[in-house]
Amino acid sequence: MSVYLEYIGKFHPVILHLPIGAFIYTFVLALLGHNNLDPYKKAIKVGMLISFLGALLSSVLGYLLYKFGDYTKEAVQNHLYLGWSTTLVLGIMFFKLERICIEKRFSYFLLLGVILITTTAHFGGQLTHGEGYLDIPKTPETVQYKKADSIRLYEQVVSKIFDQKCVSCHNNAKKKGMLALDRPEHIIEGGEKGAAIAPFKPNKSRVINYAQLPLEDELHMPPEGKLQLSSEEIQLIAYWIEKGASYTNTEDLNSLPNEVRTSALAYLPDELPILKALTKKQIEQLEQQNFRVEFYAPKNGLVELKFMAIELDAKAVRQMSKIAEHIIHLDLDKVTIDESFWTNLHRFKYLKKLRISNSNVQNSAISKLLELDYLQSLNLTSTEINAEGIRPLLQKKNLEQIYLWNSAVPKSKQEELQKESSIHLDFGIFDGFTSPQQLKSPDLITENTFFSDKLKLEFYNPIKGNEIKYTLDGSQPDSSSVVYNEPIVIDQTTTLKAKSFKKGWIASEAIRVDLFKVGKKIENYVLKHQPAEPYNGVSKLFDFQEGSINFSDGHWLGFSGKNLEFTTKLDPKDHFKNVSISCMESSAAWILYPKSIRVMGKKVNSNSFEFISKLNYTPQKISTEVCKKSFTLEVDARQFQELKVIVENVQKLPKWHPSAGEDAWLFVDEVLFW
Amino acid sequence: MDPLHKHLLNENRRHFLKKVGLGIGGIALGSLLDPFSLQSKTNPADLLYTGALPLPHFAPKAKRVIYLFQSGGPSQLDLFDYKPLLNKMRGQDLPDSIRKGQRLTGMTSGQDRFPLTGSVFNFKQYGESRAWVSEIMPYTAKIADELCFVKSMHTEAINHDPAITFFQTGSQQSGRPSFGSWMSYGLGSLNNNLPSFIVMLSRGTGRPNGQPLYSRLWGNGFLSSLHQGVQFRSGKDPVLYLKNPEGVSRKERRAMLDYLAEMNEIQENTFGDPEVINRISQYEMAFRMQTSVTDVMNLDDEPDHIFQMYGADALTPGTFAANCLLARRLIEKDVRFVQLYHMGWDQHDNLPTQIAKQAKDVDQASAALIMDLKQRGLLEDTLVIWGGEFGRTNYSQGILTETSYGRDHHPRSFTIFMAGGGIKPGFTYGETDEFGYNVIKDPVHVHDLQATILNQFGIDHTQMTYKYQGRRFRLTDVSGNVIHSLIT
Repeated sequence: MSVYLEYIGKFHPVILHLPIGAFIYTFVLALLGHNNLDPYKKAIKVGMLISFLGALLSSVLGYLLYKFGDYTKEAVQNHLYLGWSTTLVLGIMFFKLERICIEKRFSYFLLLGVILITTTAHFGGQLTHGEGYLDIPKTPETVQYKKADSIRLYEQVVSKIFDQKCVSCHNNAKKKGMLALDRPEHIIEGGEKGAAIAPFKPNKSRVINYAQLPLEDELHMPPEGKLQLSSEEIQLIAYWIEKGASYTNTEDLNSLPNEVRTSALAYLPDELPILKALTKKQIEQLEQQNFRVEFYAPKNGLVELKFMAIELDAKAVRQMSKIAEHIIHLDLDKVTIDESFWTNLHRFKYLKKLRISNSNVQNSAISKLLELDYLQSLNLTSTEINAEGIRPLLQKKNLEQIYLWNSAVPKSKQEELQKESSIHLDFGIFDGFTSPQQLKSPDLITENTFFSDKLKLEFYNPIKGNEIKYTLDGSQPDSSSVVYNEPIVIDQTTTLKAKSFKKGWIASEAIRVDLFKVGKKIENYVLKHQPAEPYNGVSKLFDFQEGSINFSDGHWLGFSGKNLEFTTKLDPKDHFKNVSISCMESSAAWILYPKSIRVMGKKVNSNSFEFISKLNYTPQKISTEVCKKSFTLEVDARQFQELKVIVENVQKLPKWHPSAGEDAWLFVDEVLFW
Repeated sequence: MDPLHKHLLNENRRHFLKKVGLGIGGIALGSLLDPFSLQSKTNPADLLYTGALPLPHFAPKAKRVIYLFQSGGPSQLDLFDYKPLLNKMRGQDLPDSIRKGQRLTGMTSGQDRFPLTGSVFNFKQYGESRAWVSEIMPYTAKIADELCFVKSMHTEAINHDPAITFFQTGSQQSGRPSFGSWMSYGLGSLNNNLPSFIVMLSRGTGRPNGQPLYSRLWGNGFLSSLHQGVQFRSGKDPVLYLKNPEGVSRKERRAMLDYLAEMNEIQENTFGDPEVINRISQYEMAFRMQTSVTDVMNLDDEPDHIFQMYGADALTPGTFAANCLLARRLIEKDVRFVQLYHMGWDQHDNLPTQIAKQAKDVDQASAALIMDLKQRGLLEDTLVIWGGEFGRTNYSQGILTETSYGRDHHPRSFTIFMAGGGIKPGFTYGETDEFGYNVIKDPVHVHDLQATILNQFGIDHTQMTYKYQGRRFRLTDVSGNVIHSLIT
């Protein structure tokens, strides 16, 4: 029987909506007739009837459900009494409707009904959906930690300990005792005494045993004077060995013995909080205040902020503080920071990296940084922070790095401060980078060294404080020589020597440039062999344009296996005494200096050339560099009407050359008569 | 067809079906595939500020890169990878069992002998980490404990251009976006007043006439042209055509740009080409750069001891040292990717003389840059990478003399080093055999390195893609593994 009764009771949730609907219907009618109820009275009567009957039926079914279903009295109590009360009130409203209307109390009853139905429904809802179903959704707890539940003992813990305390001597390159602890395969290999680790047997593992020997013992590891293993570290390694010394296994963090777990946890990366992502509006507001916003990682709502202007005022601080928890990195480089930033600093709960280099930060603000639990990296370079200022931070937990280069910490205090702290203090001193060095020789922009009238010489000297001093008489320039301030103009053959000087630097080597005023510009000539493509264009020989050491720069003429041989007619007015041939050597490119240069002349009224001068060139040593050289012969031109110049190619690459026997190249960029 | 209206048909069949089939969903999908399509009407400056990735895939350790590219292929055997066996076996032939059929370049394939040669330079171990460094890199040796050496790099290319292109774009064939462009695309800019990818070149004194570099190496490929590398030059005009023409004031320039932008917008409305919007954005960037670049390039505020730290070369604009100093200044301004190329590491002949000069060019400045970043607290989140496109052979190219030898290109093993950016300091990874020819432990492929670097920026290299011509491209192409052992 009870089973059937319970079954009938299960219709309670179906039926109960009937009276609610009917009551709402009635309620609407009552509202429509709030001035004059009369036209609606009949309809209201029907509405109340259905409401009452529905409530009654619903209450009965509900009672059955409670009686025969699995509900405890405590759970149902409120709903039950309120349900009956609702039914009672609805009953009164139906039976005594006339009277209530006359006494104008209908609206009070309506209100009472609404309250009763709502509260009944509320408790009923709690029964079916569970308590808190209709609780106002709370904004999710702003901070939740991702819980680490597993740990890779070797990778995350043991290898870190080894790296820190052992590997500096036991690595593949510096295998003390033939043992390397830097990688699994090396650890397995063991050292000269055998295996360092006996899996499952910490007591038989040398790593553990040696570490536990008294410090004076010769075998004690790490050796005296080196950073020692702490007892926690030994315990962690021992536990790992006990578990089989696996290099890949993942252990359940909860399966670890308590002490081991506590010390192991310190090795796990600190997990980032998960925050609600910033809204688009929040980001826009920040951007309006000149912040650059970057998302740090997906879904955790953290951002990196950089202030892009130079004055961080109170308003910007306020804007930033609103989302202070979200900021993981904050960059205030070259910013004048408003005082209010420091008073708000404690709100930047998860700040890991703070850069306030080149800012107006003062010693007094430093203590505020102690409130930042997560702070790992602090940049105070180029600030007024001094030794006293930094001291409060020296023992700060979690802080790993303080940059203090160019701060007001004097050199004398630096070592002392570092001794007091395990935080790495970077003062930026680096021996060996600051010794005085020699300057580079001055850089002459003017490329031409030949001219027929005047030549303007210009140096390139963009660096402040760099002084170029020069001479034009061939003497060595020194600190008392003329300072180069403006282009030098010369009108005769000159030797320019110049040196760079700068305070704190060693003066450069002198450069020497020979500048030729050329007596004759050659315009008529006959060439015997044409140069090879693309190193051709004969006029280049006489254009006063010198080539660089790049043979394909367009100023060079190249002859493969052939000589440069040309004749040129002279004018009786020509008065030059020298012929210069400018050549290149680059043995890797098969380019060699000429073997010899001969000059021959045809006298006036003569028909044949006679020998004037010859220059033989024999290299002193095998040349391996790219270089240029000018060969000069003395030639008195006055008695001749025509000259012939033969620059003799070495023809074949010599024996020492890797490509011996191949055709050699001759490269010439200028021929000068002066 | 009227070309003016052709763009209206830019929708292809697949787009059409997708949109009809999936309605709004299709449009949303389309915007995911091409993140710029829906943004195109927004303020052009915004395009750069935020990257295509709405969030990093995970918390980043690095924010900026300085890539000190040593172009030409520095000889690992004369700088970092010490192989005494090669000195012992000097002049003997490379055993076939070691060469294992490795292909050669045309420069040595004709040689009938491959005489092994060790380095003429002395090697020592330095720092707590006992890293091997050659005597020609004394400053690098001093800071060995800051560096992470990867001795087991290997690549697929054997000649300069494909090998550099491979490092820069993840493909040997040109046309894909450069590393810095990918970063700019994925992560966006940190500074609206400077490009997020800046390139500077210097010529080595060891081999001043080495191969040139092509600007496509820092090109944006199929990415928006906003992401291409901008080359800064030494000298009076660091960025070409940036200055106002004579007689034009900044105010006039502003008015001109405003009007030009208006016209461009009309054009954009007609043609619908997103590159028009990019162009407006680039004009704006150039305008801002008129002041920001002058600011960065003016070294007057650098104290003398900083110049001394970087070496005398730093006083000469255009040298590697001067570029290193500028790189630090750019990093201070939060430029995302600064790439230096130092040319001239291609020592086919006369290696000892040449490489000593090359090393002198870069040694002090590279080390100083790392230490300068460190003392300013910037090394924490700035990754410095130092290395070339491949290594060099353990045998001599050309004739081996008492004091001289050359080395040909060698893709199978070479050394690079990194510092900062969450990479393990004082660490050496990977190993080559006794001949310095093959990697015998922990090989690192170019794509692995790229994947690892992206990882430091919070980017999953398999997830940062760009769809082009029907395929999703990524920097690491279809391979690459993050080398976790390199990461702190």
